[in-house]
Amino acid sequence: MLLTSTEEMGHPKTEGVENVEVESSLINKYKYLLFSVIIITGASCIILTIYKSIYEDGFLIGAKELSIYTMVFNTIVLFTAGLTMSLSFESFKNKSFPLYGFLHKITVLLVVVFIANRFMEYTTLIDYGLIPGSALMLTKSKGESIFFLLYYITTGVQLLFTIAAMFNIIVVGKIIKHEETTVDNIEKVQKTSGMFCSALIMWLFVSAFIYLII
Amino acid sequence: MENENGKNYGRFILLWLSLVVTMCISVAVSSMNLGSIKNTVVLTITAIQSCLIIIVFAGVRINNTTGKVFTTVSVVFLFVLFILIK
Repeated sequence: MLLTSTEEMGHPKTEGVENVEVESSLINKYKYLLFSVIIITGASCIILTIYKSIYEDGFLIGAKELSIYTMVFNTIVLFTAGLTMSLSFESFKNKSFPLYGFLHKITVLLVVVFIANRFMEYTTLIDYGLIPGSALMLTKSKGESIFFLLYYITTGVQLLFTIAAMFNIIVVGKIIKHEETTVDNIEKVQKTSGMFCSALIMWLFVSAFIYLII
Repeated sequence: MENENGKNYGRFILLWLSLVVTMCISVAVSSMNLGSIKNTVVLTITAIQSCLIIIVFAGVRINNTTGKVFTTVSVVFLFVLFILIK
């Protein structure tokens, strides 16, 4: 897959093309979205690093309240979803439609597991009173308060992006129901894959800065 | 054709395995008392994982202007982060 679109290469968009090799312009088509991901992720990590250097102790105590096992589980779930997403794209290109359908459903299921797990983590923290503005948080240091504020903002943005990617996967799955390996359909599946990979990368950096780089 | 497909699928499974292994290394390193090197190693592993995801899972090849701009911006962010975490 190269970043030159089929149309740009002089090939018209046709339906029912045999062995279509999509040279899709993933970056060009999703450039604003991908650029937003880079900026949001980069800025979040920089803000986290700056505040961590100011309130090192508070961040250390705050991070100890979080479960690293949950992070590992979530990361493996997203890696597996990324794998099934890519495999579904490959099988779609190879016209293995039953396999595509199966992998597509598995991807959605894994993303739902990730989202449910994120909500469970939030619920646990909120029940415990670890939410900005709560009575418990008012007794804690400024560093801890800022850590949890940034935790909710960064992971929340990532979660919203993952939910958007999941809806995109579902919608594309519904649109592509005629089981045709057309250039348009392949591009749709590829874009979905690209959007999901962006959410995965966002999670990798956010989780590294929240759970590991402390 | 079947072998070719198998090879393609195998590439993704291999990447998934390497991502899981590198994540385990990341977690192990982060729990060690290595000072500032710890953060550099974790960030380096995360950057490598991201590159692999972009290249293999998303199937992106950076060979146009937009791609180059994105790569440059990402590298600048990474560079800033590497300086800040030290």
